Amino acid sequence: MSLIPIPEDRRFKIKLIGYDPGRSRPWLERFVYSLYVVAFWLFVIATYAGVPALFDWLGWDGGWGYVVMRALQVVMLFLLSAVIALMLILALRKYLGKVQERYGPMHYGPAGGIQTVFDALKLLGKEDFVPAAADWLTFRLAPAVTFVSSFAIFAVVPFASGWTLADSNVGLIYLIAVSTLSAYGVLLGGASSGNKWALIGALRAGAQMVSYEVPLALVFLSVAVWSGSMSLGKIVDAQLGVWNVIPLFIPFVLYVISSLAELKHIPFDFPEAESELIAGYNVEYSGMSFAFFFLAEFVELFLLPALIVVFFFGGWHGPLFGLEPGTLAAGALQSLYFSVKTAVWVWIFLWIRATLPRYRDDQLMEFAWKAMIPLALLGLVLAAYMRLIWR
Amino acid sequence: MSLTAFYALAAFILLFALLAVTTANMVRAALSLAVTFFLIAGLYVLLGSPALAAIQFMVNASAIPIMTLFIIMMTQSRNSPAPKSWQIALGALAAAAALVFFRVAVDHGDSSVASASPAVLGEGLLRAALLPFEVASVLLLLAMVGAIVLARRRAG
Amino acid sequence: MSSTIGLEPVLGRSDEMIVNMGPQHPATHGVLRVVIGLEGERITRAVPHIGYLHRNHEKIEESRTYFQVVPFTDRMDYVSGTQNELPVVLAVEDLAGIEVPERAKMIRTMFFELFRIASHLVWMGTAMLDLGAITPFLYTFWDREIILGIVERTAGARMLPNYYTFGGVRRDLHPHFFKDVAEFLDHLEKRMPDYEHLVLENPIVHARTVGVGVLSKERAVARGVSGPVLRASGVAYDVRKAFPYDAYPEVEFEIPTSDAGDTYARFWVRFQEIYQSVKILRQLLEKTPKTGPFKGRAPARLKISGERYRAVENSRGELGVYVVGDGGDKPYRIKHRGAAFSNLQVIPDLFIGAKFSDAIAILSSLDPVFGEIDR
Repeated sequence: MSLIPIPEDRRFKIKLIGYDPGRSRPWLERFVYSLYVVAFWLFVIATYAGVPALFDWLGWDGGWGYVVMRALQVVMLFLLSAVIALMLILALRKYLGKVQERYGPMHYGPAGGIQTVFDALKLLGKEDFVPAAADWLTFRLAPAVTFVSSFAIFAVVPFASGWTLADSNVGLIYLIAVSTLSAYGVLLGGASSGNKWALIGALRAGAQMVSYEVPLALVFLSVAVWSGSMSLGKIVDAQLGVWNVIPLFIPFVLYVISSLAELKHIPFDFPEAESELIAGYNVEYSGMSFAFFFLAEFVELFLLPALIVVFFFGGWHGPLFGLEPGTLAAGALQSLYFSVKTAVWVWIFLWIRATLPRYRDDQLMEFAWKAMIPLALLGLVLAAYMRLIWR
Repeated sequence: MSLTAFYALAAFILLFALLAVTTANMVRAALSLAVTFFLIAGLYVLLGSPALAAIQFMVNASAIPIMTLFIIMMTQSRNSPAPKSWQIALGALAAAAALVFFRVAVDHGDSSVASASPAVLGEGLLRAALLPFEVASVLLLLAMVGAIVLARRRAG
Repeated sequence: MSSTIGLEPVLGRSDEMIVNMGPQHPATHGVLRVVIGLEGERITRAVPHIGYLHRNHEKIEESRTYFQVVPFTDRMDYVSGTQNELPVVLAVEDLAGIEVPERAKMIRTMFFELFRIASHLVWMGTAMLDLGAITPFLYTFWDREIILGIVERTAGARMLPNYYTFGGVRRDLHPHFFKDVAEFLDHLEKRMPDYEHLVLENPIVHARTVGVGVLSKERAVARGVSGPVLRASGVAYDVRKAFPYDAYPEVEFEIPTSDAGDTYARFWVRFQEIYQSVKILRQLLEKTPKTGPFKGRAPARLKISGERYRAVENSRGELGVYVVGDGGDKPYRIKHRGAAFSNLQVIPDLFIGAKFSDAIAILSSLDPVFGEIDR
């Protein structure tokens, strides 16, 4: 920028001490990050189309074969969530850098592409101790509960037509249960830390998450009423003509806000705020336990936007260009549409994170109980009314 | 195969239920109770009603444990004291009586199981049992309002 | 949480929780420790403890010549650069009878206002960081980089330039100075609507700051508060208008005042001060002759006797200095009146009754810099 003057009348040259981030090569950045997206997409295809094909070819169709196949898919989804976390943490830092007029990580890997690997190594290298006053069993279990509850959302997300791990007809109830479980993990973490301030922080975080689940459940109800089913696959199928965001606009807005609150994302990140007075629920955690809380948050950062796409933006719907639905190629194309839409929503969430300050604790609870629940009820009534008229 | 699943689930349910009543640490006891309910949801799946299982999961294995934890955290309760011998005896007697009662009830009652899909559950609640359903929701509302009033009176 | 100095008389109330805020906390205002008594959400007592950055300025200045004192004062309010030098320079000029040419006065005022803008930009970035917005911090620091670059070209150093001296300034302006400053002011005027939109018109900022930490006029005056904090409580006192110095009598500017006295008012007043500084700078850019004397005649060895108090309007308030000379070339005593030091006195008034999550917002609106407070 020409406005930063380097004085020409210096008597000695400027010597760059420390690390020079180098020039920014946008094409390289885009290439590296597209590689991540392609890897993600290939993983999805492998998990949902490759594994069943493999088991078909092997001929393991029986009861136990089914169990093993699903187990293998779950393992692959776990690896997928690792890839997602890798990508999202880096995407967050790079995107924040772009918004804040700076580079973001540039050192490890081309244009900083491998940075998260080193972040993970750093977290692994830290001493993972249990405080003496803490209850070690619950202390160790809490991050696992939180992570499992975030990861369990994968079971019902439809990546393409028929590409779901378990398309049960009570998918919505399962989702509510799983969101509540992640609040439980947070509460367990704070309760077992043996630290008065962690307890208070956990109570706050738990209260916030539980308060925002009520509008969440009402929004789910609205979607179920409008779509006529509680199964996510059928909800996506029902959006063939028009995406749900148009008839269900109020529930959509409320769902975005509730998702931000469930994620403990800015503007609702009071429980995790570093500049606030009282420490959060994860203050006593370090090393791999902390990494699991962190991982849970980033997996949810991917999954909650994915759910927004499923419920309101047509899921995997998109022009098929004459491909037969149900084939591998159609599935691949549909999962690509899904990934792109999810990526757009993740970007919007990151944008919100970069821009807004945070609400005060009591303000966000007031907002949930006094503003969102009445609006959610209104949305539910409207959805029921519209369903009566139009379907 | 579902028989092995049943035996496995039942074993774990018994184990965690026993842990729930015998652990002195309140948080661990609450956690064991939550796991017990979660496994009971598994039993519902085996019985062919995933809808009921999901509801069981949502209410008893997620929401109630959170409430229990809130209570434990806010009252900052200490570990529960070790039970006295007469309490253990009474408890064992009650458990045995319950087992006998349920065995007799299953033998003499109608042990057919209808699978409860969401549609069936909805019809049942909103047609056959509409009045009890509405009365139950009013009761819950009363309980909620009463709790808030009591809490405000204590605080203010 | 260990030491509860200042709270002993009322310790023993069982429903009160003692929380220690600082001296290191991520809300980057420096090293302040406030011992807060909480009853549930409400703060019932607040006792600030300072002195964690005490570096013995005043005692050390007693063994430095007046020329050496001037760069030393830079280190007090390190965000405001040359603003700290001015009170000492003015006091000594009065005592020694040194004449300052008109052009030098204008140059000094220009740098004074440039540093006011820089300081308010730092304040804005860190205040938003405290409230949770991570991005404005980087935007305001980028703008501040431009100012620091302009200062570096003329004065030789960025943050602590040691530029003012007795009789004027040390070096003449860089040939590109006027062009650079004009460009910077254009750039800033394009950015300020964005900052207003992001900060002042942000509903979340409104929710966090409006009605929070109200300081009444009487209380502000009683505590000796000055600067934007005082003006946000309704008192239109500005040292630049009340006891003008340098080139301020020749420029037209207003004193932004607000009657609300809450945190939002303090935010608003600082914003308006940036606009007023831009106005002053534009007037001075026209008025300052491009060539001419930048320093009056001053003796190489300065022997001062007598006492003098001079004050200037720092970014934080009235920064004053009381110089006592005994005829030697080192001062007998220099006492600094820190602006933020007096402003911190209202912490108990503002914290008590507020929720403790408001404490951070209130503290950021008071804008303390601990170099100046602890010296």
